[in-house]
Amino acid sequence: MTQIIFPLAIGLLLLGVMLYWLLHGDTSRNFELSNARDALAHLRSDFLPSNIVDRIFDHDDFAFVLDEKEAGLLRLLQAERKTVATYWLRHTRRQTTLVMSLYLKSARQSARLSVALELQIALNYLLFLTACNSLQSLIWLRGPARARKIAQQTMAAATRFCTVSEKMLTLAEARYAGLAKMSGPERPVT
Amino acid sequence: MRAIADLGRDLRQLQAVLLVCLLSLLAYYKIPMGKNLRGLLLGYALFIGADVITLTFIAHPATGFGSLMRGIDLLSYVAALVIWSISLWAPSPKLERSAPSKIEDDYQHLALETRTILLRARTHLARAGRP
Repeated sequence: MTQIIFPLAIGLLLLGVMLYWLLHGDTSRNFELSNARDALAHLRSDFLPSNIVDRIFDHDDFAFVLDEKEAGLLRLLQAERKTVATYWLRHTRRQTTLVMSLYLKSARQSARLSVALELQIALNYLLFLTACNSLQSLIWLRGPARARKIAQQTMAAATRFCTVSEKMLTLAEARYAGLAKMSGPERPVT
Repeated sequence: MRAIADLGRDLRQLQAVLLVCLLSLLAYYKIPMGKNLRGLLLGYALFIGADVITLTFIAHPATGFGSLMRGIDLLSYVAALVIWSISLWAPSPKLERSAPSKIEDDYQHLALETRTILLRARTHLARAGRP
């Protein structure tokens, strides 16, 4: 049986990847690197204020409303928190995806990529997306107050992703500085 | 004879695995390519993917799909030839690379700005996940 399943899986995987590449590999829809400044300005100003984020997953508000024994008020609070948490999660994911897109756009111009670092970034990004999806499902199923544990794991994944991205950017900067020093006013293609 | 057929199938599978790696990298980095290369890869991936699947069934006649798969194998080859003919009929214009100095200028700016943003993002996320 494995003699059939394994080659079948490879063949189907190849056709699937080919289809994905055909549908998503079109770079004309992506923004140009020269638009990076606009995108970054948007990113810089668009993260939600931290005090709002602090309140989204806060259990104290729920505990307070529970003590009031008002079913309608509790439902309203849950619905609003769910909306805000979902918005915040989507927003964070979108911003991180944007950072990743910018990175990939610049990385593909470079001929000296570090395989280990690239794998680390890809893995961390994958983990971050998985955690985001899990958190979103949990928020919809059980509400933001009960999704706190997964929220923490998501944040840990996001933090790991950010740390690795930061490391990558530092290396890129160092490489750029080295190349600039070597070549003087003429900048070589990386 | 059987051993040669098996070796042929194994090599096809190896080709398929390597193509998966190549296409994954192209999709991940969204590497731009012209119509010629795109068509060449598309036709080849279709041909190899279909060949791996059909050869599997042909090599195991007990499944009962042997004759059907021979037909599909032939069709996939014709489809690949059509894709190659269309995409390679005329040379596509060479893709223009962005000016390196502009890229480097942008990248330098990008790296500095992104690091600031990531630091800010991390602070926000850490605050959100704090018990």
